[in-house]
Amino acid sequence: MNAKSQSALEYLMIIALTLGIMVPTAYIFFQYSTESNTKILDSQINQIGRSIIDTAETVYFSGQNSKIVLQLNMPESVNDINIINNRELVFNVATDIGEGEAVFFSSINITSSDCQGSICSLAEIAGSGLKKIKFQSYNNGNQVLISRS
Amino acid sequence: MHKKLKSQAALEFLTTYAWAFLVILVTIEALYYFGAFDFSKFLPQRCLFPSQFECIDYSFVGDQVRLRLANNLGENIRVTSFSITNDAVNPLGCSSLPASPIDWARDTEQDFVFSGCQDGVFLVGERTEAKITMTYCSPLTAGCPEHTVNGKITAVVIKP
Repeated sequence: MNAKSQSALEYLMIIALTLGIMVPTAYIFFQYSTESNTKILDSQINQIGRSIIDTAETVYFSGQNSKIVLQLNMPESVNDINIINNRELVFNVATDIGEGEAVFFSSINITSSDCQGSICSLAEIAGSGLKKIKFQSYNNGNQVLISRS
Repeated sequence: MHKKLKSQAALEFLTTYAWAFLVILVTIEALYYFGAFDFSKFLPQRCLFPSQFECIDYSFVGDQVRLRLANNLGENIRVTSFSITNDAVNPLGCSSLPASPIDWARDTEQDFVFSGCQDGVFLVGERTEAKITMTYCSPLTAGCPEHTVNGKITAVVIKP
């Protein structure tokens, strides 16, 4: 009887110790991975934003009738993309910190095919997945039109 | 008679079991109350902002939230407003926010101080969180359209 209760107690102690190690470790790992995801998303959006601006500038300075198609892998947290006043490329991004904007400023005049006032929508390239984006010289080489290919 | 004795033993066993269960529950609750299960204290202090506004330095001192950010946008901007809060039941609030608007040149660092901060577990020695929202615009863009950026600081409040 005594030996049986000793083994039962030892068994319970081992389970308690294992849980005591596993629960805090899982919590800390979860916190680190959440922060890491936010940083990866930020890095991806920076890379995509810079690529779009750089490609638009390349097309602009290549002159009339030039065109480039770019393939980008868009992360899923990008809810919307807009061009404001033909110079600000704005990504609306949802992270665990909240909904914010990542803005990239262009030195050339950029536009899309869906403009209302000073805001041109690029919603067609938002949303996760591989996107083919077309950059073409527009308006006698004065603008670069960005659209989904 | 034999049957009665058996049921008494069973009832006594269940009563003892219930007492033991109650003691365990009270112990767990006491441990929880004193923060034994607050594993967040094992996490490092951190400041999380988008890389366009890199967090250079931060601290929670007395009733202040101090923050130094770098403008990595590649553009001169104007910061138009700030707000601070957290997820506590009585959320964090600061009576004095950094003065705005502030003109902020590209590739430079800027200090921001939120004073008179209270609630939201903002107590000396406690680890707490501050969610900061900042709106800014580029004066070079016609109409200076506003944009929002969010950041989060998790740190221990230290004595001034």
